Amino acid sequence: MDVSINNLTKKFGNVTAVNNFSLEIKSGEFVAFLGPSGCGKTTTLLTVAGIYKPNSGSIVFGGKDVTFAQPKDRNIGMVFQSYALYPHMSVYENIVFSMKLKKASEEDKKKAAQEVADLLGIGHLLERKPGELSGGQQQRVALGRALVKKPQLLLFDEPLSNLDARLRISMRTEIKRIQKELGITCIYVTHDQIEAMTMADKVAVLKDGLLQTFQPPIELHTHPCTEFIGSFVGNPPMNLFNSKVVEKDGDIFTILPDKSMMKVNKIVDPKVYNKELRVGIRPEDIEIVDKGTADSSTGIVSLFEPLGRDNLVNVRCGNKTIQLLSSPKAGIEIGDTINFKAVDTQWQFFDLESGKSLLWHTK
Amino acid sequence: MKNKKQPIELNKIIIFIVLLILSIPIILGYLWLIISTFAEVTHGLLPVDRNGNFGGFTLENWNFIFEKEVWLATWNTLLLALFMTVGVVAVSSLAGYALSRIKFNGRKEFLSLTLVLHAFPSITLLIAIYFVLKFFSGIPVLKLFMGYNTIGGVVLVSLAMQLPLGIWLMKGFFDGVSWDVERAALIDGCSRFRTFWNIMFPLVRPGIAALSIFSFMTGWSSFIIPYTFLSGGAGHEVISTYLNSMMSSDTISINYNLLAAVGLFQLIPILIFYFFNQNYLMKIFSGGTHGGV
Repeated sequence: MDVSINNLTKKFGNVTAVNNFSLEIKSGEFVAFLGPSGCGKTTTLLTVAGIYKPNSGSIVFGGKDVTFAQPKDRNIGMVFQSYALYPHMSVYENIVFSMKLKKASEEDKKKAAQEVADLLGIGHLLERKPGELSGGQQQRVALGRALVKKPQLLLFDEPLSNLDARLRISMRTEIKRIQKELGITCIYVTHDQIEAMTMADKVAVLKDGLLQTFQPPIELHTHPCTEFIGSFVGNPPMNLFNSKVVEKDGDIFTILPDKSMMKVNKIVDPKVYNKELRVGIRPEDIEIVDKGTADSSTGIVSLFEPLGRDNLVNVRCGNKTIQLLSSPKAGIEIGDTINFKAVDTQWQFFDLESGKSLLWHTK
Repeated sequence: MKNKKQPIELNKIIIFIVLLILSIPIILGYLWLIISTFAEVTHGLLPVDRNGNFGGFTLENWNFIFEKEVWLATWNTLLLALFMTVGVVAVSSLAGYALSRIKFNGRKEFLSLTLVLHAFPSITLLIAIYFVLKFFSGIPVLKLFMGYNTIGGVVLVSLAMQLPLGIWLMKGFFDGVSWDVERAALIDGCSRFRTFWNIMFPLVRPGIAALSIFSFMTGWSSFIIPYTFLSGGAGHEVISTYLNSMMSSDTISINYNLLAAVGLFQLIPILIFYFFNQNYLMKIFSGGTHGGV
């Protein structure tokens, strides 16, 4: 089912939680809402669910305006961070509660419950009460309760935040598998960029109630269209500093905090040459070089964090700290002086005031 | 381990002894009550017959059980306690739900006001309430079940006095239920009322149980309100006022042993009730999270 959200605005008193939010979701798409706490992503989700009524704007499900429809009339399923199972009912009763309300026959209920229980591997838990289950099992039951209605839209509100790290990874794969298997349109709210990046077909990034961008996850990483996205998406975060782009002998360069120059192999609007702007480069796009060259920089290692596969190295560069990744084999230690160089195609430039990318504009 | 265990045991024994000493006056009181009901006369805790010799056990004090009057009073007490409980639970749970979930103008003021009313001694309101009930008595149909000198009127007043506690208690219990459970129910296809009835109500059941027991016990043993608003005499008495009328008779000297028997008669249902429900009753003070305003 296609979902379109048009100019949605939701206010709580004087606070605007969601500001003029528009989004088109195609049938079968897995969309993640990504943003820090309090950015309005859950509010948007609850408005789509019909729990909140918007102040203005509309929500259309498959051509039908449902802006003011009751939640029960929207044919949606929802999974909550707190699981929100009914504690006084058994797992079976939890799962079939929506069918019971529709007065489905005992037989249909049993069959449907068996189906979702098989899909989620919770068949042996049906007789238990939610209080007797672990967090992961409870979340499976909650997912089963949402799926049993055969919803046209499945909503997730940070469903994995209460689970431990290992379980989160396996549930991530499982949710993705089920979504692909059933082909349900999904909206998944999260503050965890890894969840958004790994699961979603498209990611909507929100900040202060405003939609920043809506694009596939990999583009989010390589083509951040605002400084906020650049700094929020990606781990370790992007290095950002104030600098300039200058032209010299037909090539363009950017100046690092220690005044050294590095080459930029990108088409930049000549209008911004020599102007103060925000420069970004990801840690994985900086490499360590053996010998200093004309377009490399030198710094002293101030901190060193082994991440397992890589080491995260903090290098003092002028008055700023630049983070870069090195191989554990390089044998770098705190206090070493190293030469480093950025991959010249990976630079990002943002406007100092608006934070918008000077390289790309996507929405 | 054994050495460690001993001081704890000793502590427990000391606590037990201290509690026992502190409870002795109460225990002795109850003991006197029970002994008196089966004795002709009591000297202290000693049952004696009319000549002052030990003995004199008799069931004669319990003869009142065969009087119609006392059963009428019991029936009235039961009506008062039951209707009050039903009313308090119904109003408190609905009001508590609204106060817990809905933000409206004056909500904070309303909650503060109820708290003030809770602290208000009901005796100070008696005269004002008398006029209200008198006013009801002037209204044709209403006077039959809500006016002065009706059980309905007493229920109404007792119920109102109980509401501040009930509303705060239920609000606390509702505050403890997560919003998400309610949202899940709405999405699952419940209407607002169905959500309240099928999901919220079962989840605050401990609160409901505690409140009903508490209300029933208050209603059963209330005295001041029925004493003021029932004129007494046949059909206009509850047990507590019946008991009182026995003490204030001018003509016959007061038979304390009979008085004790009626008192014990009134006490029995409460004791049974308390014995079976004390766990729930404790929840009044521990279970509900008394959320802020």
